[in-house]
Amino acid sequence: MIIVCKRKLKARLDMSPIVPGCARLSKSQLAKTELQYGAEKIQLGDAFEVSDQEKDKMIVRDSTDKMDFLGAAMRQGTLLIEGNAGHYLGRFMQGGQIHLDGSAGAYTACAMRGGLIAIAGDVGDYAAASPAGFLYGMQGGTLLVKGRAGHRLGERMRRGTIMVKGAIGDYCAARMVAGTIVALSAIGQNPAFMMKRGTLLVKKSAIQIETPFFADCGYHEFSFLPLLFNHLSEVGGQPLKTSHYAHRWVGDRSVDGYGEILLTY
Amino acid sequence: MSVPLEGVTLNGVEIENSFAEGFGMVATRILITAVNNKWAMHAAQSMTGFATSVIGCGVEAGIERYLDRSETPDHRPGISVLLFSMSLEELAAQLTRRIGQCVLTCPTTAVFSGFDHGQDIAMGDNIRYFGDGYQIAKQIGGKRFWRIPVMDGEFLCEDRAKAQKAIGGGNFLIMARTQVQALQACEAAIESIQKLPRVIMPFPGGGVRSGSKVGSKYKQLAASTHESYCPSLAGIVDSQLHPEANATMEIVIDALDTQDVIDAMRAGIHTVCALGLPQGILAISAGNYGGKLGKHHFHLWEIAGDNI
Repeated sequence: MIIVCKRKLKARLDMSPIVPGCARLSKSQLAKTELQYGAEKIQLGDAFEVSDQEKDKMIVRDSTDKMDFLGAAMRQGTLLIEGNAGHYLGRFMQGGQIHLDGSAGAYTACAMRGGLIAIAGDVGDYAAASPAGFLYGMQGGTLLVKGRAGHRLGERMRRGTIMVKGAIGDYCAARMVAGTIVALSAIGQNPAFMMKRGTLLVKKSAIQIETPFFADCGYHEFSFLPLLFNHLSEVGGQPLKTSHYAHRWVGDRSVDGYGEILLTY
Repeated sequence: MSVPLEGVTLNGVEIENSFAEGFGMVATRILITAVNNKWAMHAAQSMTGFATSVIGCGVEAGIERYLDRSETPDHRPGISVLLFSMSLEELAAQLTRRIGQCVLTCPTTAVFSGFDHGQDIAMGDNIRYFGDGYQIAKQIGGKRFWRIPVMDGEFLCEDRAKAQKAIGGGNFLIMARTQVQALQACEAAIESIQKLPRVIMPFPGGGVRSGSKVGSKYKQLAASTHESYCPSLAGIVDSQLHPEANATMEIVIDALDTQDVIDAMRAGIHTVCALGLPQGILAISAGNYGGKLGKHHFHLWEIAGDNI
């Protein structure tokens, strides 16, 4: 299914009813699907041209940052987004793949449970974090960001893997419960604040651990690192440097946490 | 495949009209890696020790082959190990016990599942408790791993291994004029079979000198010596030895499917027969239980047939 935005959006548009699985609907049924547009309801056909029914694959063309909840609760198939995406991209996503060739707004992959989200641009604040009213953030799957990530990436994250190639904002991995965040560039203030468990992997040159709440546990070989880098190279389509060694800091000891910051060289 | 007529020989070695009787088993493959081959081998040898027969050991295990760095998940040198048992439960219990005592304890090692498909059996899922709360789970590429802190760093163990149906009980017997000649033939056969993947020979060094029959005059014994093949009893029992034979050795084969058993038996038999009469090799036979134990029958004539 290909849907092409044919009008300039002035208000925010809730795209959650449209996921690859709904391609089973006929073209006319799809066109009549109701979407929340600002304070009013519109039909999909009012804002988009719908063509090419293809099961389990959806392409959104001329997507803009006004389109929220793209791929929300998606279970299978592939969603290709040409342009930008609004907030809550892949919220509660359980499976399948989302490929975005632009940037996404806040709360991307929040409470994601499975599948893959690959973003060519940047993501906003609270990516892979817990949405309002929920205890945990990302709980599975993989989030790849080629650009930058905003503040509070992976806050309350419980499972899954995130890799960000660009700079990351403040409070990355704050209150993290489990999972893995790989930061390949600079990282902001207060990383791993009140972290309970999980792994934040970051280049030594990109972070200054000054907090007394992380304990220096030395420089060691970690057999899981090549596996992690292999996996990220496979899903990211780009080879990453493989190393068995890292400097391990454990905390946040102020909350009796056993999370770890692994510094690679 | 051509089936030869009775009384056939291969390079002067008589191939008896007999068959090996294989039976269904369950098997798992694990990959042990370490800082170098030496330490991976120490772990693998320890883990596959006392694993010759399910009768007394619970599991039959052996080293399948060396693994190159490019073949292991963590890009370190490794060893592939196969374990066979009669039930999934026993296989899982033995796997946990042997990894816990022999691999976890061995410096620098890590252990991974060697099968992508099959029934799940617990591996790291039980070993992790050794971490006493400091263990860390890592989900990578849909697989779960346990990082268990140990005195040289961390022991990495995949959460689950996979089990598949397999075949046990492939075998053949080498009859020779002397014990030395039987042993030389046995070693040559083992060397040729070791080159094949998906196959192990679980007995010490790959050879067996104590072929057994089912049952005993003593009620407490499930198996006892096969007197028909014992040269020192040739005059007092119904001997099945070649008239000139003074030593018999057996090679037992476990493999992942029937074709693997056939390939291994064929490689071994042809290697032994290549030595021929000048090296004192007299006959090749096979151990079976009259077809009552297992449903897989590996007929020597069919297996050796191509070159006869």
